[in-house]
Amino acid sequence: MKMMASTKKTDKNIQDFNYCDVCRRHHSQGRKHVYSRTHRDNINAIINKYGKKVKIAKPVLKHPVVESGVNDENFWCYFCGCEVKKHDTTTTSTMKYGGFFRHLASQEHRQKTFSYWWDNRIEKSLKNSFLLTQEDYGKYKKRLVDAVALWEASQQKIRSEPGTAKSSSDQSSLSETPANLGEPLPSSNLISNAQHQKVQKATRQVQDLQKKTSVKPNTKAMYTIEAHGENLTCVQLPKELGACGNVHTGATPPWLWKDDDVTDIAGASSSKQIGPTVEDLQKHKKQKTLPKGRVGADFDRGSSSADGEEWLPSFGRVWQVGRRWKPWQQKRKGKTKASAAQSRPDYNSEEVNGP
Amino acid sequence: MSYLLPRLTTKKEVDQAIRNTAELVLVLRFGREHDPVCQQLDDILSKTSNLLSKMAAIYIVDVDSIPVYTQYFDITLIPATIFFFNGQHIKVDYDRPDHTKFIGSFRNKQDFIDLVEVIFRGAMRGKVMVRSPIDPRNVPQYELLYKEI
Repeated sequence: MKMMASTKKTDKNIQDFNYCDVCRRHHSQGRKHVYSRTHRDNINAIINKYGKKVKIAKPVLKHPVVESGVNDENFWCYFCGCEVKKHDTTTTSTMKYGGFFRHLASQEHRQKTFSYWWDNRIEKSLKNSFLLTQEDYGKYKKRLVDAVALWEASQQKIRSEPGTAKSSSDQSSLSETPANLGEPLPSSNLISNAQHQKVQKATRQVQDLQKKTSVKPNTKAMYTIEAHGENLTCVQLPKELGACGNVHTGATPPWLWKDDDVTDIAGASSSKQIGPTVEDLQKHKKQKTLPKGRVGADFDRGSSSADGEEWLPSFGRVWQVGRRWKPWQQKRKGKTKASAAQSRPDYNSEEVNGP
Repeated sequence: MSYLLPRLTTKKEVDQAIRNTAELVLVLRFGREHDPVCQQLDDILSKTSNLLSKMAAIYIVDVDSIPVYTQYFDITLIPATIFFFNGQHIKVDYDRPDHTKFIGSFRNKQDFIDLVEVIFRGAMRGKVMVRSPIDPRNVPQYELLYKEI
């Protein structure tokens, strides 16, 4: 018996083995294989996975979505065994699931799906959800034309608004950065990671651009006009405001104003002093080891000039949206770049052009 | 209790204090001598100044004497306490509308000591904005209405 079994094994030659794409293995079971548990499980997994994608896309069939920005996402058609573009794109916009529906409606996909169902003995009722009739596709196309027209109208409106018109020259350099990327995309969960990062980058660019165009120190100032607190005395503020700015704006703080001569006072007082000078004392004094990164480690007490933006607090956005660590990082990045290109005197433009 | 604390009367003195206070938290109290809340705050400041001598230098400034600073810091309610470190204004998040200054009196000495310590440690780590360790219930309530210039 044993002998026979072993001879039987060796009798099998390579023709007896078939490759199953679904299970990704060779088997010698012939047609029986498609009924095996592993194969059925794999098929169910594929149907579920693909079914979910179709389910997400189906609402778009009735209400086509057009978005700004280019989305070159692909999807894998399990039945045709090929990668297909998910969305239809132009240079500036994306028709969501355009490619997906075109593929589902294509004749080739139809044939492949039928043969797939036949080969793998899948329940026939499931087939129709993965197919799109030409009629439905035609209807979708008609609706899409309307949606595109609507989208173009909205884009025109945005462009014609004065706030964005001002920065149109900057926007051209950004090569079609979509205007509404600041808002979270409704289908962000569908977008691949790389795509998501791209979108975030574009969003940041837009935000920087907005900052450049609208917010400048001393232009958008704020001051308190009314204050009320329990048991607290309210001080009447002097009326002429706005010329110098205050702590909420980008004004130079009074202790960095140039007009008062600091060194003069120090000199006058030193003539009265007796004993060693401050420098001598410092030499003999044991120096404390202090963290280098502390605030104002390189603050020059002697100079009164507020050169450039150096004195500016490295944070902000107390009244603006966003995380507090972000402006600090932005500033840092700008700073490193500014120091790299020291020849350029305009620090501001460097910072904005940076990221 | 304000007579126990050093007083700054001119802009130059305040400038000097801000610029020349090295490696210490500079505390400037803007207020009026005869204001009852200011007196409470002065009491706390004077009693803690010695304890905090290695971490903070505390000065008293009269709001009416230096309008430049009053205007710059947008002081409308007194007392207002402002913190600096090495010439840099330190903002603190008190869960109140204004982060640039502490308005009102502290509930007790410990609150003030905690706050100074947090600012000092934060500044030593390079932070110019810190979160207040004080229980928000102990921070005086106030409302501010801002207007854009």
